[in-house]
Amino acid sequence: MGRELSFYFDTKLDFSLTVTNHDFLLRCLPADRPEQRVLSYTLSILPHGVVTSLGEDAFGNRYCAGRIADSHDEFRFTLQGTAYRDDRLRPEEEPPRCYLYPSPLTEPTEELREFYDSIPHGCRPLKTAAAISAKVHKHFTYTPGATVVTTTAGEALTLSKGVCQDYAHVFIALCRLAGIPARYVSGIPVGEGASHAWAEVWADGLWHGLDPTRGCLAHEGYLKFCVGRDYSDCPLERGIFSGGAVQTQTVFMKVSDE
Amino acid sequence: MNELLNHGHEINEQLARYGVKFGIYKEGKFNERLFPFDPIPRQIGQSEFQALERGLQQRVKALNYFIYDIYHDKRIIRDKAVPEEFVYRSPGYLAQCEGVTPPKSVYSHISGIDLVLGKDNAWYILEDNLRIPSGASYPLIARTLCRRCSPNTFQRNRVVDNRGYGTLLKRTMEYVNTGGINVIFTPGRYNAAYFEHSYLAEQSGAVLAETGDLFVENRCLYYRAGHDPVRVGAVYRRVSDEYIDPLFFEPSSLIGIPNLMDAYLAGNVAVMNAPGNGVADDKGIYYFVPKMISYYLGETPLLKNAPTYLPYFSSDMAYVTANIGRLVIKDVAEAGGYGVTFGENLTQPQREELKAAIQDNPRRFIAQEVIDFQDLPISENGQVVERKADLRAFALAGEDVTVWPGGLTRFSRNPDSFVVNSSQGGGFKDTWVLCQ
Repeated sequence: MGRELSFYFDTKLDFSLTVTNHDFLLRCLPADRPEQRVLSYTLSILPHGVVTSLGEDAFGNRYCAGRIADSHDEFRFTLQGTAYRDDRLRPEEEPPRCYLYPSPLTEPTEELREFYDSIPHGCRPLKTAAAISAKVHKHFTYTPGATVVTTTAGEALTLSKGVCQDYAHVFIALCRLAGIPARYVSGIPVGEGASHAWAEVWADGLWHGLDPTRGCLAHEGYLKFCVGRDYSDCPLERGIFSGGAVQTQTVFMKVSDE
Repeated sequence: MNELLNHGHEINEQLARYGVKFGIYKEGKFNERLFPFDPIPRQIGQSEFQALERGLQQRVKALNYFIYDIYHDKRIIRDKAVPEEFVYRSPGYLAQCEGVTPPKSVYSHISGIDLVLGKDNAWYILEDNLRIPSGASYPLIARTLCRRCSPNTFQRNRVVDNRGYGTLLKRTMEYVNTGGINVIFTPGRYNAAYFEHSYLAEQSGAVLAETGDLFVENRCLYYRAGHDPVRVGAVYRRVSDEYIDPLFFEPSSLIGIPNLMDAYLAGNVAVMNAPGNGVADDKGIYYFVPKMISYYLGETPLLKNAPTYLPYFSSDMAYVTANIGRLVIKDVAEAGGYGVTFGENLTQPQREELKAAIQDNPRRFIAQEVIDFQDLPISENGQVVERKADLRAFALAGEDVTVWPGGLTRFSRNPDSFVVNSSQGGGFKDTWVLCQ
């Protein structure tokens, strides 16, 4: 169909003490790919005068890297713009086959294999993926705080609890067991106030989005930031600095129809 | 030669004074151990060395083509010469390097190839070490000290002078340097090979830097030198892939350079060896190297692999399970002599257990015939005894591949052991390449 979305994100880090030599890497830029074109955007960073650079990683994600050498106690980045989503547009080339193999957080465990065996599969990839998504959605109880960012798919399945990242990891691990290339997606669906994670499977020359947390398809109202084999390939924001400060993060995000 | 033998003790004392040490982690504790030097050299004749040189050049060239292919077109996978599972399940494969081309397309700038000389007088390749192979500094400093003790010995025996390793290393760095200084980046003095890092920096004229000395700004790597930072064009990093950049890789790493990958992706710095090249030094991939040589170069391999079986192939699995008692089994995920099991040393129940582990996860293991390799004479308490020894040859890749005329000969101090890795407590010798 095609859908135009406008976005606004604002992330603020407050440090309890001043910090220096602060290096950062931001991947919370909307992806610019055939199925999602960024029409316009502006990025502003505080403190002023910070040297930043834009790059693209091996997964096709755009990122902003930078460094603040001088002492500061606040770091803020604000991004706003519009994007056009159209899932009928095909990527130019086949994705690398690494999406078919286990990655650091999706290594299959005995339990994952058994769980996989309990799901009807063997039919068309998209149908299998939908069955896996439905099963994961039903099996898990959404529980913030039960897991951490480094929790693996195997650990999450044992708990049967977690957040969107865990749902996505288990879903991806199972799809790969079924021989379906699958990748992790970070982004934000229209109407939500925080970042979300879901997954895409490759079938018939297209990536198809599925959201196992909500038990639905990830439609064109899902604005994508970055992708990877799992979360560890594409965290939205990372930083490292000198100084024994405690940081407090405040995030405001909004995506709406244009 | 006798003169050298008489100086053995003195040379070891000087090596200790220079801090020629090897650090070992054992049961969670870090210990520094001296790396014992044996003054009796391994000698390789000129024509034998030339044959080795050609074989190693061929091998390193093919390995480099392979790594490039894996991160770009993947022809060798499409042509089914290497099963894709061996690539994407290799711990050395880095998805973060897909489509990335290092400066001048060199992936393995410094390769340490381990060989043994069989009783049939043929050299066999045991392992290709492409990530951060260490060891060149030990025979290098030992040679310098030996020459000091007994300068005539080298002239009389017509030994090829190999003290120019530092110059060779410098040339290798210069070839890929993108503009700026050369740096050797060390994880610090608690690293097992710290002596080597500092010595190679001194020999090659590169700056020795630790984390905190380097930073990335505007997609370029800089060295902090007084007030004005200096641009770095090539960094010979002695930190493994997963720890080189806490923002792109392992976030808990305290020994990395934040955003180094950003500078690398932009083509603004050469990282030596290139990230992701471990995909080719995987023990499972080793099996396919002779195939790569014919695939990429259209040549017949000049050096032999040790006879190797991949339980992944069902015919090999049958052979391995039937002959486990006389094979050596290696866990592909381990290095440094760990994860190596000799079937003959196992009890029957242990053999069954290992068989079950192999059947459970065939991709994780390789099996090799135990090569009956030649012993070398070692002086021990005034006596000459025979011990197992291997050779780590160093091949440096720039415009061409150059093999250093020498190498690290390591021996096992235990008469019954075939494992010669320094992390397993062995010693080392100098390797003489003769002019004739």
